Amino acid sequence: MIEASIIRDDHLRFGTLCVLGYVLLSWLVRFDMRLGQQIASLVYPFDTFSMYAGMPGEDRSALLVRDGKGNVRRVTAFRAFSCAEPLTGASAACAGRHGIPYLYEDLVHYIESHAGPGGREVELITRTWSRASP
Amino acid sequence: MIDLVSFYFFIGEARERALGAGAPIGWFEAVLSRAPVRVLVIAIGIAGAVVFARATARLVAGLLPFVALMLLSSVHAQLFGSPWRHMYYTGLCLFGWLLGLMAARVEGRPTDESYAQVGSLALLGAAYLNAGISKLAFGGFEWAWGAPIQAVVVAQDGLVRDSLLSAYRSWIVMSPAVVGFFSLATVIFELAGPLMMLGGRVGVIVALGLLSMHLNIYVLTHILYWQSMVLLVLLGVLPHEERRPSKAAPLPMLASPRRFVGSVVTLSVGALLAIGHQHHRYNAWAAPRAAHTPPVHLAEPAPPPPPPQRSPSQRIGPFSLGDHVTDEWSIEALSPTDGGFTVTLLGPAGRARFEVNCADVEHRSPFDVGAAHIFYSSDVPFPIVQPLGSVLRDRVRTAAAPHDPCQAVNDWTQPAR
Repeated sequence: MIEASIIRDDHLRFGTLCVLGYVLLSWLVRFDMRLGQQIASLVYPFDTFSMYAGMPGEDRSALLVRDGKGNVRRVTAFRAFSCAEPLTGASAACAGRHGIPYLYEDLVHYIESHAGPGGREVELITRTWSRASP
Repeated sequence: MIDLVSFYFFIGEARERALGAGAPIGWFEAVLSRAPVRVLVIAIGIAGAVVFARATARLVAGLLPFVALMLLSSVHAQLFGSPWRHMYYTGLCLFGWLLGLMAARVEGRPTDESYAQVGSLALLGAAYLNAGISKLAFGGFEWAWGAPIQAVVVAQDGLVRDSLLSAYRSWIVMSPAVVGFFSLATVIFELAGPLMMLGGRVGVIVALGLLSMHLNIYVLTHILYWQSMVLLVLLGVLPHEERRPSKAAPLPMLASPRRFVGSVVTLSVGALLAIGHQHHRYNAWAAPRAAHTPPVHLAEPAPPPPPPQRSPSQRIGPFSLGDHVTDEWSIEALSPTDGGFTVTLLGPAGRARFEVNCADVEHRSPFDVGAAHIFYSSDVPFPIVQPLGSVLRDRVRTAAAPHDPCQAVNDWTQPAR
């Protein structure tokens, strides 16, 4: 019984050192990448798993489509787009409300890769959320 | 193995998009992302995984899929622009398993996999611990009040009413008490991740709590971490054989309480310093951004006001009306804007519009010249836009040299305003 307890302790000690070593190496350095600042750690499989860890800033908008009747739908609910205005750049409507960068990029890519004539006038909108001040 | 095979497609797609966008690709990514090379890396990884799975304690064979995953994940992250964390869990559990095998070998028990099992579970728990620490380090205790979860649900889902789950998502976003409970539970279970090593009732409760968290995240945001869910079930929920006592001498670091405590203190202090450093770096980056974030409102935005109309120009910087930028495309219009100008090109495929400016925005374009952006509209397909954008970029770069491109853009647009 005592022997088994000692062995179990050794395993827990080993596990504890693994946890602390992983935490240390993951937090040691964090790099910038194209889709965000300070989002990558040393090397795979070390990571701080910090996605969505910060308080909401600019990532609280969603790119959607509003039709002439005011119905709001997902961008991916449509098959072809012919845009009259730029989707990117400072002059794009809601340029500062891109929400989650990779998601916005995915949707813009979807629109760009589905160019074609359409039968309905719709509007690309960003639905934006804000907290009420206490 | 599923992750290894998945990377073939994920990297192919990321490579195609990076090349299409004209993003710079380093030699490492360029070589490893080629189809034959990634097939080779994946095949070596799978061969190693098969050998590793068919016998116990195959350390070298286990290293092959681990290194393959490391290479493939690194290449994908560089091409995509961000790491894909859901692909990390298999690698970190395999890494923990290999560390355990190494420890057992040092102890003189090369076939013992009990340390491997603990190592795997330890790193799985450490990943969740890091996620919990991140929330406190970057969001503070305020994170547990629920606002980040509400924001993520809105940003991911948009609260579009198109399914039975839409009502649940809306209810969560509009119910501060419920979302606060989910947030607090998330932080608690994540910080408790390493307790899974204890096994027994505590370990199972923590694993089930984390599983519930993943299920809820999937329902709320469509984000599925199936790899970590499978690993939580395999390592944290399902019962395991009791570890048998061994007569071999344990590792000196584990056997000597003094050395173990010294190691724990050293690693803990190092980890706290590293977390504190990253917390400081994050605040230094985030604070100015928060100060400039405009107030926003819960509503679909009103139609944006029309952009200010300015008179078109005959010439701006190196561009003149009617100039040919290629054999088939010429400049149809030049218009100054706030902080820059637009160039509209006319060609066989229609009109391609570019905007040159130095606005402080997150988005980047493959045609940027230093801090000067050259954004493009999606009126024509990107393969047509790409050579045109490259010509415009070269013209801006050549005309601005040796001065700062943004200073040059400002100088060019002054006479036009």
